[in-house]
Amino acid sequence: MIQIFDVTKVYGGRQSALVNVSLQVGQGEFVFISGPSGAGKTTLLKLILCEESFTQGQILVDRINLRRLPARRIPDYRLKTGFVFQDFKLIPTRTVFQNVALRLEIEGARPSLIAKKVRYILKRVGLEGSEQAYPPQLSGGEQQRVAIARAVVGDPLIVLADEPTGNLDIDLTRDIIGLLEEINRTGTTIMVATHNQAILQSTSHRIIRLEKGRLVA
Amino acid sequence: MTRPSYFIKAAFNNITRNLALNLVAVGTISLSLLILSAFLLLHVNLQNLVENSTRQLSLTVYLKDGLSDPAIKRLRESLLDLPGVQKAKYIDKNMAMADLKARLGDQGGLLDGLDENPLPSSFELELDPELRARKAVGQLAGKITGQPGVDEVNYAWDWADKLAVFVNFVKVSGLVVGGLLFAATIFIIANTIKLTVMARQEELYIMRLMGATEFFIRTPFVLEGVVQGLTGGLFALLALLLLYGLVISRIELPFGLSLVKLTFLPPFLIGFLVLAGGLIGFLGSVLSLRIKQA
Repeated sequence: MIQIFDVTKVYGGRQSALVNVSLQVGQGEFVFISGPSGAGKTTLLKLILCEESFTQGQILVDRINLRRLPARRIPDYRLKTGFVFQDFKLIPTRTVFQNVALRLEIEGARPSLIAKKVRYILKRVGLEGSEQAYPPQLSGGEQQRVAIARAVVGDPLIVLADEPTGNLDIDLTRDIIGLLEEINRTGTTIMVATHNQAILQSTSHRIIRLEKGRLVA
Repeated sequence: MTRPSYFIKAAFNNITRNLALNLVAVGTISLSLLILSAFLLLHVNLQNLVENSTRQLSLTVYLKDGLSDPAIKRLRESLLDLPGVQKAKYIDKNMAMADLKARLGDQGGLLDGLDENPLPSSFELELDPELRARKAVGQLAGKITGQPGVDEVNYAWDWADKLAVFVNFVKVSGLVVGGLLFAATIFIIANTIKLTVMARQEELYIMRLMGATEFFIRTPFVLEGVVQGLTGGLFALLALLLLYGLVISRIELPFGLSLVKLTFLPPFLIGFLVLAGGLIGFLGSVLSLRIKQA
């Protein structure tokens, strides 16, 4: 699903965030990317999301060569992905329903289909009945569930999560990881960047370790 | 393909979310268009006045007293032979007196005290519309003045000439002031929308990450601008109607011996006014998004 060959990312011509990184993630796989702060975890996810360009190497996602992907095709490509961030990145002026529905509105889905899918996905993440609440009215754990619902409502091939449990306590962390595993069981490829040792020590999923921009394991 | 209903809803949400800012923009557009439409109204009415004047004014040839019937007939024929003269209506002294009495109405009795009729006989000439250029009428009058039996030629179009110059001045001033207001309003709209865009940077960033195209992101802002503009245009129109109903329609300008009421804008200019608002909003929003991208 994701093939990364000899990728280097240099910021401002000097500071290397990633150095000659090569790795592969299979379809339907659940992998953790670990490493201390500044190891290049977030940069790697940003490159896969086409949020930033890379200095050298090749990245293929679902056989799409990101280096050759023209800017006008990036929105289409991003529809194949879902993202979850530590700070949730929800739109505070939209309700829970509207936050999740936005992903389907971008695709141009019919309102009846949007309503049906959003209600289904909110029920799946345990937020049934919170459709009309606004993000600031929810707890951190609930907000992250909304973000996960938004990431998966469009049935993406890959979900990229950058420190999705960074703002949550240990119980909520387990909940969120459990939810991502449940989504993974339906065939969605999941990449989670984290430095949370409690998660990493208790997982049976593959762990990719980065240090100072280099792949170490 | 995103559904149009989404864009309309998103634009409506943008407007209600920043209602105060939007009201300022709508107020600015209304005021600018009201000033522009006041110029239009003035121009339309002055233009009407000039057109009426050129339509109603005729060239009058006053005859010397004591001309014989054959001499009058010969003069009529020679007048009709002149290029540009379509009709020549003979008005004898008695008819002229009757006409004057009729015009004076109740005060017509004043003329009864005259020993003899002082009014001259005359020909009222109807001219070819093509000949209404002032220079050509002057040349024609010169030719007629030399004819035997002609006492005086009257074509008092001087004031109409001055009015036409004033109309042109109003037109040019309207274009200059209107153009400046148009540009200033576009600038204000551009900045209003730019403020909204800046306030929503994070939201737009999230939408881009979710796969939203620039078209998807920008269309609601453009619609917002167009709605602001159209609303501003409608408000300007309402204000002008109110102004017309309360004040302008009661003004009567003297024209000849009658009074002329001022008219409202013709339908195509009403449409133009509202559409101009829409255009201002459209250009302002497109400009703000273009500046943003640069």
